Amino acid sequence: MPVDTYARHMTLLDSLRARLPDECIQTDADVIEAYSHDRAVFEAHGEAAVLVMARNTADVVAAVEAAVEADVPIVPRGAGTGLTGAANASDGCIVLSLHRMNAILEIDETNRMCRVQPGVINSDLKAAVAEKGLFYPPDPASVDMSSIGGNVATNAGGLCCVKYGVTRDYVMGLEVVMASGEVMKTGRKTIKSTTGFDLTGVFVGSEGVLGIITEITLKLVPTPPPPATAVAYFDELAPAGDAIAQVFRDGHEPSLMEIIDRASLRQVEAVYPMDLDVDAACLLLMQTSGERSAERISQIADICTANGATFVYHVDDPHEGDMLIEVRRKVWPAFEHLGKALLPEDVAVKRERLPELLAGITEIGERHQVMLPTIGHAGDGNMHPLLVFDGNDPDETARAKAAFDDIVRLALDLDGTIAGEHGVGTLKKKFIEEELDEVQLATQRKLQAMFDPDNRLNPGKAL
Amino acid sequence: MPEPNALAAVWHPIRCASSGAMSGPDGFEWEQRSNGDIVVFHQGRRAATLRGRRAEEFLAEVEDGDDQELMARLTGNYKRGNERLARQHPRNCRRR
Repeated sequence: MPVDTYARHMTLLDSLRARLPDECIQTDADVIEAYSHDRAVFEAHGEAAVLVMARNTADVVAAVEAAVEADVPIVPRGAGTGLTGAANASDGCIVLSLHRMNAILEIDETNRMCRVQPGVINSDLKAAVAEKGLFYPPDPASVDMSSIGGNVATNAGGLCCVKYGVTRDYVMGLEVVMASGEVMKTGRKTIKSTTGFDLTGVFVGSEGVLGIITEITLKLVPTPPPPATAVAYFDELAPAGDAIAQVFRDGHEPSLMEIIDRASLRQVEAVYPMDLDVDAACLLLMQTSGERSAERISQIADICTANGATFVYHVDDPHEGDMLIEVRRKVWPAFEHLGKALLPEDVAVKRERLPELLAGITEIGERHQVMLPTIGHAGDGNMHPLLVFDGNDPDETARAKAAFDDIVRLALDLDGTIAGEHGVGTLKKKFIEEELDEVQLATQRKLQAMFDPDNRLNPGKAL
Repeated sequence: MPEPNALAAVWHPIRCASSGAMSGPDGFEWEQRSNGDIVVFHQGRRAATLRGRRAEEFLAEVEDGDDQELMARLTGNYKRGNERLARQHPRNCRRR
């Protein structure tokens, strides 16, 4: 370690030890390594100097002050389930884990809101509010592992967003530790407020580059009645796209609308035999919740039939519905059985362009000769093509990377977005300028510089 | 998380129906005796006898429904090759 780097490292540790108890400071290199990256496949990470495990907002302030004093970066992290490298460490940084800050501080049934610390696991919050007859809708695939703080930092989505919206739609207010170490409260405690700019919205999806979120106020909704469920097989992708479009044109509000392509159906069937139709081009899974859900699902099933579905089945038994939807959750584990590297994509287009996107993805897979099954949130136009490849084979890995880039550019060509719900991190940073226009990008960078003039917070991510 | 064979209990009948392999029940006949009893036959063999109120209900239901489906239900004849899977269906699990 060079002399000046060593001196800075010692200054940092002295500064932290002056502010925090030993239990919050971890210097074991193996432990630090485990906290130095998320689940992104290719994204490199730096060598962090120290891991701080904060217990409360005061600890976060102390960590930021120490980072300022030693002039080192600080990289906040939740549960580390991200897929874009947004929580990857920088060289010499403090990795600041918020997993200990996992208290549900308040559930307010009257105003249908709750106040939580960032380390609360999404499914734990769902369970706690369900006991009060309330529902927190955002449900990323990592719902049992990911933290609310991470969900806010990435503006996470999930299966039910087609009706209920994404994380952004539920964040009412935040407590944030700024790059200066000051603590700022944003948002509102009331259901409505028009005071000031919406700084809460600026922090949602900001991937830790503007401030460190230490408390979150979330909107809740009443628990919806059990959903009704429909499944529909199609022999071609285009009619499935037509059915999806018509469902929305006819005024329906499905609470779930997922698509599974043939390659995914075949892999699920190979690993978990359940007699899926592996010759179908795709399977649509749909649910409706709320009033007249059974009637609504019947109408949606009729739309699928009218658009050429080869077989449609619908049911209002919620348990049977759960079993039908479970096939969607089996896709990732089924491909894990192959023992290969998995690189999930995350692009989105307008609903009516889904058939073009899906056809383009198939073409890209064939052109690069990589396994490229696709699942996704059909109702949102948000697709997750999954690159399956041998990570030990440089040639196959290079083809997978090329296919990944081509899918992003395909989404852009279709007026879509490079990141539907996983965020940008370092994985997709190179595509930012292809989606955001010059003026917007410059404005966003000025905004970032205003919040963090020394580029100390999670440097190199998002923008 | 549901076991894969429990998932098969849900998806297998759908596959059968979509491929046309699972046809509806057939081979049922019925006749009314002079005392009002209804005798149900399956493949020519006596399968059930309905008396009194049950016979009256049968006559009412057979007027406006699928009589084969009705007699299959009355006789408990659901043998379609998926009985083992059906036992794992969540609805049937709850009944045990």
